[in-house]
Amino acid sequence: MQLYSQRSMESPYWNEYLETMPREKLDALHLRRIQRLIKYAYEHIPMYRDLYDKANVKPEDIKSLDDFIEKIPAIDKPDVVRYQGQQPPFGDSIVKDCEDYCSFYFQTSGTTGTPLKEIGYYRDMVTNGWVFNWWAHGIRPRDVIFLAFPFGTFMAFWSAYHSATALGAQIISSGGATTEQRVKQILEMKPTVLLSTPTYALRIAEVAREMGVDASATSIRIVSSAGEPGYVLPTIRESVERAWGARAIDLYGLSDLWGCDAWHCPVHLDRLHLTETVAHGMVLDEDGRPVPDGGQGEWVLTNFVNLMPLIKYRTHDVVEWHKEPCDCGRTWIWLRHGVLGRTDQMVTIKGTNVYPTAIQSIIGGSEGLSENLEIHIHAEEGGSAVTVRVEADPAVAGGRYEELQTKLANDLRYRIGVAMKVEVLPPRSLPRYEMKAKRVFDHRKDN
Amino acid sequence: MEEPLRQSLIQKLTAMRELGEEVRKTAALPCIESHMRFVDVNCAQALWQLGALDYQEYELDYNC
Repeated sequence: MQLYSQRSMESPYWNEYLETMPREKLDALHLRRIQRLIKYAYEHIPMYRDLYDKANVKPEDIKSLDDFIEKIPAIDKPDVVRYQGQQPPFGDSIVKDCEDYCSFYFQTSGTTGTPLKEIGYYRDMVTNGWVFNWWAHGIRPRDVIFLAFPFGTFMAFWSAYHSATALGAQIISSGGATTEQRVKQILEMKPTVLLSTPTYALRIAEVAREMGVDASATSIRIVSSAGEPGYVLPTIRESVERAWGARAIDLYGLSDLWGCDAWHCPVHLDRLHLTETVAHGMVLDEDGRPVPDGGQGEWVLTNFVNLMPLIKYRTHDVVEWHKEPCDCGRTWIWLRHGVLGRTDQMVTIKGTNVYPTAIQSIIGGSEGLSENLEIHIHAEEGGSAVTVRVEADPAVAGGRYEELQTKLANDLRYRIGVAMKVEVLPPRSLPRYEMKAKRVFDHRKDN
Repeated sequence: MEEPLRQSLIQKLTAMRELGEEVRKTAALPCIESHMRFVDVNCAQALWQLGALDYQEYELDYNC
């Protein structure tokens, strides 16, 4: 018995109709959805009525995407958190009188401040991008997906769980298991797809090695990750693919926006496609003006959900966006190298703008160093300073640490153009994480 | 439950399954097939709760 028709099984697209829709038609569809969403939000969500009244804009003023860009004010996480704080837990940030439709509660991880509380209807959960990503990379109902995720209030892999159900794949959720137990489950149940953060995929492989198990010899054929800068960066992709002997596929999602996400192109591994069925994306410069196709700026998203839509939401992620059709046949916006950095983590050292992801990428490609690292940003007279702390690879003798330190400092200075302090540490000096690893520590506001 | 209501629902489910068949034959859109499958599962489950008998037979035999 086969769940899908043969033609669907052979299709590289989960939804060819929308994934290959010409840009003009796609933009017309976005405009219609945005107009409906703004009207709905203005009528039912007090936060938007308040914001739009203050900006002196009414839903009927939005007649084009240009109007949307120019007239609708962008919102930021602290704005929404403030509205929620006035009348916890959700205040005026959600649809009025929607209690009967509240299906799922999540909150953001708090990596960048006060967590945002999120409430959603069932439909919001089943329309995200995981399944587009998986289908494009050949995952089908016969695959067995192993979810190495604690299933708390962080949305990330909950949406993957529901996407796996939508696809029809078998799910093994390893909820409260330890890493050792997860290795044993992988050996016993022979899943074909591993879902975890990139950091934790490497951690499982590390623990497997300590248990005498070669992760690259297991049944895993695809490692599908999200939650951190991932496999769109070659150095991170290569280390996970080497550890697991499997293809590593990436997904960039924002739990703030109900998993509205971008995912790994199957043809160009340095590209992520925005799931344009669930969101509208644009890139704006520091003054809120649109950045032309191919340019870099802040990623601003609008998600099409029922209870808590975020309209023109500032992600603070810096991306380079492209709207020309991709060789994979998709017309959906693609981002080169995923997220290049964060506007709020940009470091200016002697006039040069540096993003921590660039540092991470260089370290990932350095011989003798592991992926376990910390980047500390400090305030300094005339700008900022960066200290990089990185663990040496377990196979490297302690006597080589100084040499690796000097080499990395030189590489960073040569490739980024500024000097940074580097410390090479013995293995296991830095903390391990099961979910999002904390890599960047910004001390500039500590004093 | 009133028999006419059950019969009406069975007719609607049958029509919906025919539509699902049509989608499978013509569209080749996995996402549509997936959503149709859940509509079918939910409708069939609703009928089961109304005392219909074909739910399990359908689950075992449906193969197109």
